[in-house]
Amino acid sequence: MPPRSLSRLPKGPPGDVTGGRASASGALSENAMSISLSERWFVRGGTVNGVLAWLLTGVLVATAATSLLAGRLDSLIFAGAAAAAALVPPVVDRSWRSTAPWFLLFVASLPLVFGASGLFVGEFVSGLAVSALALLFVVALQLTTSVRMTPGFAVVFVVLVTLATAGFWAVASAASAAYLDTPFVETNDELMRVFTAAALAGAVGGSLFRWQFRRQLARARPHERTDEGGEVA
Amino acid sequence: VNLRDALHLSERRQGRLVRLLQAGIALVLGLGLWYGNTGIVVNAGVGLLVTLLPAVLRRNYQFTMDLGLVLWIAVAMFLHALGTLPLPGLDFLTPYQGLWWWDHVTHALSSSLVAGVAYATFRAVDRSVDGVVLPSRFLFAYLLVFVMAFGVVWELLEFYVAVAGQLLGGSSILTQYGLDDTVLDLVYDTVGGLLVGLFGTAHLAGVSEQLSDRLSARTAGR
Repeated sequence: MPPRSLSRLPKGPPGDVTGGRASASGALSENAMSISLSERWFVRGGTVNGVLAWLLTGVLVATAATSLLAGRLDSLIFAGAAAAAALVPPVVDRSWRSTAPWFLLFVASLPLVFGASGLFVGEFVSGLAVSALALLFVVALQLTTSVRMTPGFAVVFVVLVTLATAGFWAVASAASAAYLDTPFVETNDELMRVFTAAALAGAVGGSLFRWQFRRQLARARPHERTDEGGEVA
Repeated sequence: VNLRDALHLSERRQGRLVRLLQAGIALVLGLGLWYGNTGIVVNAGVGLLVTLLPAVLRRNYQFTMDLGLVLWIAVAMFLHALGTLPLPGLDFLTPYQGLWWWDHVTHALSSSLVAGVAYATFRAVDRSVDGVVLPSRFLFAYLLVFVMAFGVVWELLEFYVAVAGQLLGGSSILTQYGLDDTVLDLVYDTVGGLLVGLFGTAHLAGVSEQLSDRLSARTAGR
């Protein structure tokens, strides 16, 4: 994490929307990205979003079920994990309306449609979906455990998870190819193409989330001003 | 359990051992220049610079590392540099080419270092970056993710350096030996990360404390 994104703000109580006290200047500066990622972020309460999110969650659950019946372990794990992460906000809040943003779920379920194409685009979309899933998991972790992240840290973490997932996928697929005779890439160049796609997807996903965080912050800022930011200025 | 106590090494002897390993890397570097082999020169040169890093950090930033850790770094860099040198005992193949396990040893060693960095930053960020709370239960998963991500980046680096080398018509600097080898590299990367998760934490406590003090000082100083 670049030192400039390290926070200068005092630690705030968990549950506080900004996680700390916003500076009086109100300007969206570098340290905006270091304000604590509230567990409420990326949880929406709208009806339209809720309906779309539940439709997509249904698709994920159905995909997980058919993968289980078809014995396709990789899509079972992926769809199952995405569905589980999608179910955390409504379960924790006991409200069907509070769900993850539908677009995040949409991106996470894309490879279940395009994943098996074997094209670079398909691999890139898979990587993007992994980064969306990683962000869903960060949200779920914040809702259910004591883990708290700043947007800056969350973005770095999402990129790391996207890269690492490609690595774990390679190890697991190679083992599965050796013992269960399942398909796997045939040359090192192909594997490097998959890794490249994952790295690109991680970078693109990370930048998208960063941009999204900044947008949310800019929107939240005017209401979050307090008179306690003098120490910073 | 402290590595130093386990090996009965005095501070002075450890320091001497580090110098010896640095001299070894310098020797490999010299031989690389003598042979005109870019691969050896780059690998040994970078390795030597990395072993000098702790001293630079101490001099310029008053950031002292546990001497055992410095030795750990030096061993990893020495084995990596030696691995690129054609040896008479191996019919003038390099250890990387002639010994199937060499690559895995160096990978596990360097990934344990990467995991060490991951551990130190984890503790430091948890303690001194406001808004970030990372409970210890999260550490193991974080270490694995960090090390594996770095392993993937490393493989990509090896691949693209080789591609660039081919395009420029030079000898290869970092080499990949095929799909199985890449996958095994990643497995050994994971092993290195697991080892640090299980045993390596005692050595790294000092590093992470200094790092977190540094972060806090930065926070307070603004």
